[in-house]
Amino acid sequence: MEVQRKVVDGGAHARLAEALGHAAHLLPAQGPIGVFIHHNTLHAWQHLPFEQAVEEAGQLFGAEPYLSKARYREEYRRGRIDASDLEDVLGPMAGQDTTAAAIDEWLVPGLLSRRELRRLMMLYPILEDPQSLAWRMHEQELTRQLQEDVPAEAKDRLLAATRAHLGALVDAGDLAAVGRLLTGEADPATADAGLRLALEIPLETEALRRALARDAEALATQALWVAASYPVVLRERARAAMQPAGRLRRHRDLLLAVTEEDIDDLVNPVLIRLMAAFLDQGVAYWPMPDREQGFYLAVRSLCMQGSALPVGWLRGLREELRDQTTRRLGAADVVLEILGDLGVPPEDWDEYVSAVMRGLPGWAGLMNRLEKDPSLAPHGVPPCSLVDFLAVRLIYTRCAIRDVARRHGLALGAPLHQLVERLLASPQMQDARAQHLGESYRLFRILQLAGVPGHEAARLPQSALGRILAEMDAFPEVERRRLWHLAYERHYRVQVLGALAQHGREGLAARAKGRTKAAPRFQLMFCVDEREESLRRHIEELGPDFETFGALGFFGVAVYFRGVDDAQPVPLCPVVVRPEHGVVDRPVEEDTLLKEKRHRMRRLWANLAHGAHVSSRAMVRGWLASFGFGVLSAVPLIMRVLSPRLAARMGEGLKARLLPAPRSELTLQREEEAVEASGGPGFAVGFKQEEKIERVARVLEDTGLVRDFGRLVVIIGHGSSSRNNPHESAYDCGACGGRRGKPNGRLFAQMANRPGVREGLRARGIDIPESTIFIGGYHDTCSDAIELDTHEVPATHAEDLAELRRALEQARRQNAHERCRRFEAAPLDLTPDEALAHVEARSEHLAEPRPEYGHATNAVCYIGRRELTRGLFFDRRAFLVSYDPTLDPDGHILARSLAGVVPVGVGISLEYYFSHVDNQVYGCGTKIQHNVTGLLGVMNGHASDLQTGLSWQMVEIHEPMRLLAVIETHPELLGAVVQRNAGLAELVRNRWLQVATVDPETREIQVLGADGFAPLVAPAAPLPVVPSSVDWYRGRREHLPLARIARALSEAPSGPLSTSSGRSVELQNERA
Amino acid sequence: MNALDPAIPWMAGSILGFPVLTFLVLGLLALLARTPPERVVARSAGLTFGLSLLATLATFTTMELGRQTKLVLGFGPWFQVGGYDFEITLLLDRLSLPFLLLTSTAAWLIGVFSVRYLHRDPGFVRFFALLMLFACGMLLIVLAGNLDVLIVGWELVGLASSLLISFFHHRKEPVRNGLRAFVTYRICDMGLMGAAGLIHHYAHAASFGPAFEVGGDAGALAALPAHVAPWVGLLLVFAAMGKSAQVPFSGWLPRAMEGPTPSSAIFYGTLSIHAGSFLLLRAQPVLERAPAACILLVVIGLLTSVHGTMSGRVQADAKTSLAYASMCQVGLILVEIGLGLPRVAMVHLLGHACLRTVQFLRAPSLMQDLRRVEAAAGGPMGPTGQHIERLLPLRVQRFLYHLSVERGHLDTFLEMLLVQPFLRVGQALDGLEQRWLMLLSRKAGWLGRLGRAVVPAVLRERFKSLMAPRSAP
Repeated sequence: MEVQRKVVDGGAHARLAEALGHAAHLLPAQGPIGVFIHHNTLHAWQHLPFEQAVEEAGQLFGAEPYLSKARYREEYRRGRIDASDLEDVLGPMAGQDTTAAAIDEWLVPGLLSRRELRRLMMLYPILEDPQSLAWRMHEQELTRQLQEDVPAEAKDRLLAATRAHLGALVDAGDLAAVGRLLTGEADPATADAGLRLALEIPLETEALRRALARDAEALATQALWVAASYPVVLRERARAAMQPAGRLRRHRDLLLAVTEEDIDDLVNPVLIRLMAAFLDQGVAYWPMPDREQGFYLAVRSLCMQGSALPVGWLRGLREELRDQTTRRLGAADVVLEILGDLGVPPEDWDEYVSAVMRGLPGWAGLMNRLEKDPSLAPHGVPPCSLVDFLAVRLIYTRCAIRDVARRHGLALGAPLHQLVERLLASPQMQDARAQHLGESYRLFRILQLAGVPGHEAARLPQSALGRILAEMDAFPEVERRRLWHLAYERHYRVQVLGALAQHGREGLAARAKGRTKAAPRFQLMFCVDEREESLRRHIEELGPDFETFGALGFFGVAVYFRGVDDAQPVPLCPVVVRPEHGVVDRPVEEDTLLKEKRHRMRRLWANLAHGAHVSSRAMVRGWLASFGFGVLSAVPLIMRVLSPRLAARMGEGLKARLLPAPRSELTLQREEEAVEASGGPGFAVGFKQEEKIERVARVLEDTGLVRDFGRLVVIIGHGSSSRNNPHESAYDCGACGGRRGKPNGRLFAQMANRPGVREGLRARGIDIPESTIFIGGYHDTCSDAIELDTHEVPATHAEDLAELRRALEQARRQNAHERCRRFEAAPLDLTPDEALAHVEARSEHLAEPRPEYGHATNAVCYIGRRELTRGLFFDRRAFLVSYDPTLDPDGHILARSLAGVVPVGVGISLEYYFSHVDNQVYGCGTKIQHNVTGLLGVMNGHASDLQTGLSWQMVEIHEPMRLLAVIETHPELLGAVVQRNAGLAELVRNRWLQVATVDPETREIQVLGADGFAPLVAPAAPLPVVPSSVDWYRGRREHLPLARIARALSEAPSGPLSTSSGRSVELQNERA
Repeated sequence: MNALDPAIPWMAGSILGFPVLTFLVLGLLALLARTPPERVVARSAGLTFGLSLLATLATFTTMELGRQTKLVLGFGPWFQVGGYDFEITLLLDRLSLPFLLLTSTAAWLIGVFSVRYLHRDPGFVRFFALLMLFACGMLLIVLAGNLDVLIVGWELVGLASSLLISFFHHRKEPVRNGLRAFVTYRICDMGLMGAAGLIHHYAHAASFGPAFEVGGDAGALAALPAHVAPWVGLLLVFAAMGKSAQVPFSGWLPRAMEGPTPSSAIFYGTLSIHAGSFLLLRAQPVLERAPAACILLVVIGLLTSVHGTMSGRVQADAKTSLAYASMCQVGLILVEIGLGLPRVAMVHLLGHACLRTVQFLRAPSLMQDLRRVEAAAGGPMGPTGQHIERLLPLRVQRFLYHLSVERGHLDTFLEMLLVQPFLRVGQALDGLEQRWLMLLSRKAGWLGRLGRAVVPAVLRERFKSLMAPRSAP
């Protein structure tokens, strides 16, 4: 439909586009969750320092920047943060150019220093809930006794001082002074009345003596309260706080404040329904008419010719739309018109448009994503455009504003654009609460905590009291939480770096003793994913025959891959990479018949399943379905709930019998320039010889695996399988773009086994002996199943293969065992076999909202030689990237590694950070109410905003901290490398991650601080040593500190492998 | 007759007894002592539902083996007023047995499912307490030997339903929607109360006769005078309309999807949504003599069914589309009852309940399922909605689509015709009361009392001066 743009001021359109760009930038960047990509939730703030970003974004979104104070205090009590951490962060005055003297300045001479004030304000709640203060003071008699949490020595000091002072006054007969102290009244008669009222004692010597002996605490507290509540200085402060609040952002906020009616309650449900219908990927049976014309036009024609009733708040909507049609307005014209009508001046558009979008950030964000990249939608979407969304939202918003304003008599006889001024002037907005009581209480509380007796406080000049309050104001809540957060991070950082330093020193010592490493028999390369850390450790605990490496889980093979059973080729590589090659897993020719039968059967099943799905929801067909297979359908459900593993195994068995899989081969080789165009962008099928050499060489060089090859080298990709879980993809391999990296290991191994490729590698200085065989593999991080693609293993390696299988079989049991300690539903005394059964059931259970914990607990990223970390218990918290600095004098490999790993790691760490610190705003809430919408995302319940981020079940055990990247290199080299990559430099400069380096030779550790790198200062707590991982974690659920695992460092194999006859490692049906 | 017969009352009693006992124990513990730990609640819930299911199976088997089609268990009089008897009786017959099996199985299944699904949720105990309460209510409805017992169960089900919709009470939508369901229930419950009143008035008791049985004791419902039966029929139909989400009271059902997934499944897939149908199946003797009620039932059922299928067709989220699919089939079940086909309705109901439970519990799988189907089919499935929808002229398409998206404007109509006038009356009365209260309490300001408590009297004057700037312009 051709829309003739009304000739309006072209500048306004440009201005609007600018405002839209600004708003779009602040929207969540999550695409459809079928393919979940971890990314920094506050990506739009990355140009700011981390702390500033979280605080500003927090204000904008009404979100928490850090954990709550209560939570940090709890961590302090647990010892997760200790006094030295607190001391460390309190040391320098943040943001102020002062020396150490400033922080130690006295506020109350001899009793309260600035440092002490800040320490107290962090450790104790001061005024958490001002609304209920008056009630609490009365109910808990806070003016008659000191609070329970006042530290003992402060309390003793305060009581003793008051007792002595008052006792002396009473003995001296100076009742006037006592009266002044306890009531603030100079006139004895008034003071007497006041004292009787407050403490039920008269102002008489004997009575006071008795009271001092019986309940000195009441007197002391009363004196302090009088001293704190009296000063005139408080009056000015209270008055200052009564200035009217600044301008609010949009009509909705103003109307809400004045009328207590939320126009979003009117607008959102309608808009959610329309957006869901418009973007739907195939849930609704009946697609929205006209949607190929875009959102605005579709909604316009729908509402104009639809069944709208001329009542309620939508009165006049149809006429409005008709008018827009006859004037042939486009979405942008409508937006401009409404902005004018509502009286929003162009200079406010940035903020206003952004605020309007934030009424439904999830939906607006999705619209924005799909506008930028329509290929994200699994089934293609109609043309999306943010301005369409804005137009429709504003049309409905204007209706709602008009309606609410009319019903509350706010808009009678005046144009709408004057509404804002009228609202701001209305009495409700001016009603800022007087704060006197709160101010007094704050003073009272802090003096109490510091143990300042009432008479001392009363003696202080007004200015000193004002100064204390000003100091308290200068240390606001968000600042306290920031320091807590720094202390929280510091504690873990010191722990990890201290352990690394010690482990490194001992490694050097061992090396100096002349122990040399023999070439291991098995080398296993895993994804850098921190979930593989434990598996690698358990494998290495089997003895020096085993060595592991870490590389990004697509192993340098960026491809579009189509498996035997796949409908579409999918890209398997980080999202920022667009593959140029494709590989198809093609059934071999002898099995063509088998393949066709399989496809026929599968298609039949698909049609039946889809038919049942559709018809059970229809009317007549639903009637037939209820009779036809209604009761029967409950049988598999009951089985699945009763025994998920058994049910899954029966299903697999049935499938294997009915649908034998054909043998297949990968279309790896490419001789001619064949380009397959199907499935999106064109790509070349297969790789040429030199392309293969390039890919294999690169990964081997990156990881430092260029000599001492073992007999078997296993390349293991990973993914995660779970049931009934819309966020399944969020558990898959981030380096494969939120997909399963099963084919990548296989592809890499097949390439590396080609004689031609080996020859080419030799020319590049990588000499792989004939006796080395590469094997592809796959690890399911949820069920801990491990598959190997063994069909290229010759008979000469049969024994090695058998040994490898036994090793993996044992390691995956141990891995399951270690993972189970985190699951509250798994008893702590499980055996490894039971643990394996437990995690297998988790991955198959329909009712399991936490099939695994995903990346929760990630905290460290180590880039360097495994030698330095082998035998360290990282508690599944470290991304481990293999990198050999000795091969990389100029840092070009490091540059590559950092560019690949850091954005992935930081994205994961920050997404977990934000989803944990504010699960409502940044995360997607609890899974148990999620409602899959349009195959695009989830809503909370029946009509809510689209929920972005991670669910609470995924992040509940996470410790929100910035990723600590430890890199084995020289600080200067690292600096140079980082400077060359703008994105990386921004992340490092703005401290979205913590950075430390380990010197490759001396293993000295340097930490990047505000003033550049500085040597690590850490207490040398000895690193615990245990024989094996299980000895360290057994019986414990919580986060564990690092430890040395002796078995992974020993020179001799650790006894025979258990030959438990579990499920075969090899699950995949491969060409024999 | 066989040797197990004396055990039947015990077995049947324990079907209901276990959940009641567990609910009371858990509830009292949480209320008086402290919230019991999750594991205790999980174990006791599993045990309770398991035992209740076992008792059901045992009862069922024994009665089947003994070819017994009817069992009445009397627990004595509840109370008597004048000539009216309120008995506590349970009735096991050809109607209640299949429903009993369904109820017990569903309660057990959802119980087991939820133990895992809600693991570590802060509302874990609350959820199971409510689930237990619901199970008690539903079992009472199914086992009720007379209308009075049924009403007790009916109310418990309604209460549990509303409280579970608003399970996530830190958000305002769930609370609002829970309230909406509650109000709808209460309004329609007036039908049930009215019917009970009439039945007691004319028959002096409200016992049910065994269903699907010719001859024998047909219960109080069959004993109603001919001129009363149609009214009772109409009232019962009205009562069923609320719980079964029939037009025009259907607006609460899609909104009920706010609760946890398993509670949506058992309430709006399996049991609660079918309670209305069960009531009408029980009231078959009345409906047989109330042609007007039957006609009304058929009309409403058909309207609901059409409304459900139309609105369901355009819903783009998993749970709402299932809610409308449920509504649609329940409408058809009511049509079958209205047409005098209780056996068909019963089979339909059982099949539908099982099917919908599965679908609700698997609702989060929607994306995975569809992806699997597409992979198997070798590409995207063909578009739906290509038949009737496409044949209509575009204008009509738009009209119908909009009507469906707006859910037939039923909520707007209700709001306009029912809610607004009611609220206006309420507000007027409230205004009167406010003014009256102000008049009475002019002298006693609670603020003053609060101030006295915190601040010594002598300081209050100074305080007042401090507060003064507030009133200044």
